[in-house]
Amino acid sequence: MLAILRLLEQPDCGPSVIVHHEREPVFLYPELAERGWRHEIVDGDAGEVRLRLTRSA
Amino acid sequence: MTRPANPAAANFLGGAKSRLLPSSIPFRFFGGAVFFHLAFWCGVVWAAAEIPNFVIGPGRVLAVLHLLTLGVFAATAFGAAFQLLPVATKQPLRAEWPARLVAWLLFPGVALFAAGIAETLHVPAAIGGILSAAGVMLAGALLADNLARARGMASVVAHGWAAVASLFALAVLGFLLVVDQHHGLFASRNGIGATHAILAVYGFMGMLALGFSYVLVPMFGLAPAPPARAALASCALAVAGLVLGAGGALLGEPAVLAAAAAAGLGAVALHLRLMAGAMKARMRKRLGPSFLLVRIAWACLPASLILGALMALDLWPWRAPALFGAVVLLGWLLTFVLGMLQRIVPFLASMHASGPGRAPPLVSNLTAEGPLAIHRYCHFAAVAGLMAGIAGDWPIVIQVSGAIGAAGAAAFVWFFVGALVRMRNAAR
Repeated sequence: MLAILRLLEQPDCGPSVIVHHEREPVFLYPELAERGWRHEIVDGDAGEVRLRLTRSA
Repeated sequence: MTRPANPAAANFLGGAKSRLLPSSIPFRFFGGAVFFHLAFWCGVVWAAAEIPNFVIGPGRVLAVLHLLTLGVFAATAFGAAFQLLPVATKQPLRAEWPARLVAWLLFPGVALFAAGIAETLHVPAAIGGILSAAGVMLAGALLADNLARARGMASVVAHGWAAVASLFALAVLGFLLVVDQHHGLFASRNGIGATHAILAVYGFMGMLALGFSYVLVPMFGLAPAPPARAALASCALAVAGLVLGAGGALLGEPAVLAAAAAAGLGAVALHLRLMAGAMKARMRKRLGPSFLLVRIAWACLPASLILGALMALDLWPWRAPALFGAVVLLGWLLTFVLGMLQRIVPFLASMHASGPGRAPPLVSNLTAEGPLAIHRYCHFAAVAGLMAGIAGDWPIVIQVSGAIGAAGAAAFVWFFVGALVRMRNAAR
């Protein structure tokens, strides 16, 4: 979660980030919302949860 | 995605979906704690005249104390543990109904037990004691089962085991004290009562507070988890202090009690150093007023151990038990619990309000700052006033402090109910 948040706070971070995670990171969601990012679960490989994070307009 | 900088912290914070309980389980415990917090301060007003010269024994003060220890502390601990421990151990609870049953046993039990010992009514006290003890033992069994299957966060698990062992021991001693009140089992209750108190405050609640701090402080501060080895060393020192403390209280040996306090101070010094490291490395620079409560609680913890040692060595005989109780129960534990609760409640509410295609509400939008500010000022005024009232043997000061504390507790109810209402509205 810290690595993801650090990445999102980089000045050169794009408007969309794909996250590969072992499990659904529900504790991350409130932090994303506070920073103006949305999340959605997208299809991923077996044994992973893949998220697309998008900066809110 | 890049590899996390600290796998332990990232694993805790990252994965939880299969172990996230229905919101009704943690919130029923937190709701009970918030209610009993209000009842506690009302009880302070009611028992004011007896508080300054309190020594362990049945009566109004003991009843009010158990509204706090069982009603507020144990309830908060169970709510937090049922929610957080499965995430830390990477093991879900086997079933949800036993956790709900704990609340059904605990809350009526505490109310009945407090009423019984306040008025020296043996039957209500015994029934309430049995219900409370059953709830506490069931909670302990659930936590032990989860800890036994743990696959992560060794420092949290070690603290959890110490807390659960203390919980079983204090429940047995508490039950024996209730039986003794009617049947006279012991020649002297003081040693048993003191052991029960040490295991409750520093054992069960203390070890959970220290253990969960390794999760909660990094989580709310967005910091790496403190090094596990140092956290385990702190845990080992704390356990040594607990064993010495329980033994010293049972045997009535002041030197052993002082040694226990010294071991406890070593554990706390290491723990606070780790907490300071996490705070220094945190990403979130503005922690908000809740951490003012946490910081004050951290200062009161070592102060309580020093006062405890002075009391044991008879170097501070002046209203020592009541003042010591105020520092350890209100200055440290209650302040810590309320500081953490005001962060946990909106955070959990935000998580539970999110769903597929629905962004979670902002934690800041679920946090009513006004009621929390009222609570904060009232809490500090009430605790300071209560200590002054005890020191000066001024029941009227204690009564006024209790009324201020009750006003603060009512504001905390306002904050809690507001967070639940906003969570439900957001989830629609």
